[in-house]
Amino acid sequence: MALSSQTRAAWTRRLIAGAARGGAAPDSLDPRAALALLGARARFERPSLSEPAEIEPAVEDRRSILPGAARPPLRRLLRQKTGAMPGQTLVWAAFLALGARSFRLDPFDLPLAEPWLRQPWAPVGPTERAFLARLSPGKPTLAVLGWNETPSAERYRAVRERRVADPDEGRAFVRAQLPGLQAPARADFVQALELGLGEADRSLLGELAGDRARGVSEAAKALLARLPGSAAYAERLAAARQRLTLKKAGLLGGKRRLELAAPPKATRDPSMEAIALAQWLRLSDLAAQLSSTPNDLIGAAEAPLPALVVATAALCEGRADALDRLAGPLAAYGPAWFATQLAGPLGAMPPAARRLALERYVEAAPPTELVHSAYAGALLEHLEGPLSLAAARAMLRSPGAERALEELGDKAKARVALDRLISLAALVPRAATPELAAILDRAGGAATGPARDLIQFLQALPDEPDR
Amino acid sequence: VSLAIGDVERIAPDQESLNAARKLLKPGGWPLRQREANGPLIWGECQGSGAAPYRVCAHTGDLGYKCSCPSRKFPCKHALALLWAQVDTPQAFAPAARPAWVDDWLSKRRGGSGSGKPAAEDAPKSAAVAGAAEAETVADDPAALARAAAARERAKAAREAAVLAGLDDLDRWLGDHLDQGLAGFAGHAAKSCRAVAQRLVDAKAPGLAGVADELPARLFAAPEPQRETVLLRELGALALAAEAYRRIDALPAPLQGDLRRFVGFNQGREELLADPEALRVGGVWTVAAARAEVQADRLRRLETWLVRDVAEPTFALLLDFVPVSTGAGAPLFIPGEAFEAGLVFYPSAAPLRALIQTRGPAAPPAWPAPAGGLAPALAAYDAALGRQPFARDWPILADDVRIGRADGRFVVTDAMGALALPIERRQDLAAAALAGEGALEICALWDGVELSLMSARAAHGRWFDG
Repeated sequence: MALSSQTRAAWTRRLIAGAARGGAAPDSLDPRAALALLGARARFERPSLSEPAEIEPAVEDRRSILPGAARPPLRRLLRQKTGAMPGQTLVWAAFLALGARSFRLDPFDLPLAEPWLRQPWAPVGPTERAFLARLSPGKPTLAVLGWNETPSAERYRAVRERRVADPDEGRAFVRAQLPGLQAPARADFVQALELGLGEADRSLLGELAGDRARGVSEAAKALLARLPGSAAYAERLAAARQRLTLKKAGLLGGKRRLELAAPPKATRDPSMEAIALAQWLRLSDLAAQLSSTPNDLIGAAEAPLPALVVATAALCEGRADALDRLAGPLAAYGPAWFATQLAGPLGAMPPAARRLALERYVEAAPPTELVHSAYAGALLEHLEGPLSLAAARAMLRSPGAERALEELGDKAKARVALDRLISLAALVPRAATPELAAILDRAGGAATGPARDLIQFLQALPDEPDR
Repeated sequence: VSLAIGDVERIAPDQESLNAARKLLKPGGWPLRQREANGPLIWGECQGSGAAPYRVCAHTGDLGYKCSCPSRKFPCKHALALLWAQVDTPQAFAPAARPAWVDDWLSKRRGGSGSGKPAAEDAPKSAAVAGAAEAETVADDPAALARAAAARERAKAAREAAVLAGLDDLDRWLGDHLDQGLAGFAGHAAKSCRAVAQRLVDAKAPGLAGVADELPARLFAAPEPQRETVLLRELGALALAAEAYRRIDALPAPLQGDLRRFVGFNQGREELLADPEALRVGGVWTVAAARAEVQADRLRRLETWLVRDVAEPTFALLLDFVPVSTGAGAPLFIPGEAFEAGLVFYPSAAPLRALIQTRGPAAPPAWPAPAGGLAPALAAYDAALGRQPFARDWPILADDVRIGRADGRFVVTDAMGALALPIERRQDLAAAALAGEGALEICALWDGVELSLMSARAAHGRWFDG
């Protein structure tokens, strides 16, 4: 039996209002039969939406999707509760390892990872951010955000990524985007040019030095001051020259010794002052000022403070090899020098030179502090990949790793020590994972299922994407 | 492997389990028995009372085991029988690569495949005796058989009478609500539906009771503007079933089967297998989804959705129920796995529910090609509903669809945006992930109101629910 649309509407009104048995029925139907017919008819109706569906444009993400073989152990790790130890550390290490190797989570694992992605330390890239934004419908999705609305750190990172891939293309991108940007975004874009800074950037920076926004012009001027040939550079070079002296040394006077004069004003931290003195100066320029050569300066920097100056200037020029010869004096400053360089020249060096410098440093003098989550994280961010096999082995055999193992026996320190050991996982390349597993076994850490999952995950994770 | 019968005796929870295991040693009950070529693992599939064979695997070294049956004896008779068979007839176990479900067990077994914990440690603490699943029928006395047949007839007649009485109560309940008007139904839906569901359970109509029990949840899951339609659909389905059941003899035989299942009658496995008229379909079946849901009656409903790359019937549903109290509830299959099998379909105007009759080896997954976007998928749904008005969730396939947002929720929409089907809220996380994947090919369940995604194929691979 078919009901006309008018009859259906009439019966629906009657059933809803409770008037099915009263008044004039639209036909001879029993109310229950009418209900059965209306119900059957309703099953063929399509849901009606009050607005058209909004489809998000594709999200650009340069990272590669995690290989399928690494998914099962990672999924087991992600099933742990957030906040519980050591699961928190294990997932943190897995995320670090993933990010450092330029991989991203498989999109199908995002639902499982969702509580972890909300942790402050989670490496959230474009795909993950878009995923989280979709779950908060009140907020605009990233895809509809312009550069002016994008968080500052994200803007900086985006330009930096382009700059890593191709410095010229990165500069062209910045130039093209600048007209539409507000001052804070312009400043971030300019700041990101520090990576791979070179003579080709001088023209753009010169234009930006006259920008009406103070933050932008200061950022541009600071970068110009790093370029040899600028007045600011010459001024800083002269200041360094005044403090440095090459003196004859040795019985026959054939050796040279570099000395650093005390600063005009007393300072509480001479090492930081020495680093600041040489920051962004090239070693070859410094050597020329002293009528010497870079290699001679490296050989003459025996004392710790001059060694800091020379090492810093060497890094500014990409001379990672200087660290081999300066490892001894630098070891006295270990973490302080390391941290400063990460925030300074190391961070601005081209990736290949930065990697070389860091690995030489880790191999030559692995400081105990490397076996600590904060340094591991900082290292990974700047390495953009795991350590080389040699550097990783040097670190795994370092006194810091040994000390962490010993501390496992101390109840008060055991938790932190395990945290440190597990954080190593993110740094080691696939070839070194058996050695890491052996260390964790000695520590008792790998005896737990989740720790074994982490090792399995690392073994299945290539050191870099197969592009 | 130096497994001995003494080992099997030692781990058996009681003599009854050993007796039950002995009865399972007949090869006919095992469509599959295999072993690792150079390892301690053995596994097999034992035909039990469910829609799908029980999957059991064991480690002949440490006697660890896993079985998909709901028994609360540890080890169950299937695990004992598997180990026993390995002692008695090791040649019956063909060497083979470990299937995915055995790998899955191994990966969850924290002790590892080589250094697993002893079986006794792996086993849950409880050792309560299983109920119906353990029962074995032994009767060969003709008089006793006749008495049993007569008793069954009496029970059948009593149940029919009880169901008809229950339908009268259902009619009264519906009539009362129609008299009051459905506008106020939502205000007391939970209490009222629970009451009529209880009455229908007493009347031995558990299928209708389930529809009544689920009604409030379905009602409130729907967006506000759609609730009136949902209410008419659900109450209408109950009214239709009540009316149709009183005139069931006038319906075509396949539709009678659909209606009886909707009301709550079960057709026994053996009866279905013995039915020469039943639709039998062989081929490669791929697991599209494996779901577990606890029902209001404290039974866990295990659904396995199978799909094949050949026209009608493209889908099959294996349905199993286990008591929640047994703790068993792990899916019987892993989504994405495929195997050759012969299925027997329950009589239906639109065959969907089935049993596995014969089980062959694993095979590469074979997915059907969707007929197009959402419009042809919904047309197929309409056609099925036209043949089988008691159908609930119906599987659909569609390609070139995208996931977007509308009215504050995730929807599946076609390339032109002309159609948009809301995705159930439970899948918000999955929908948020898939929304970034662009064009998708989906396999989903559609109930007329919400879509429940089972699987989706994106550019970089296939996603499965859960």
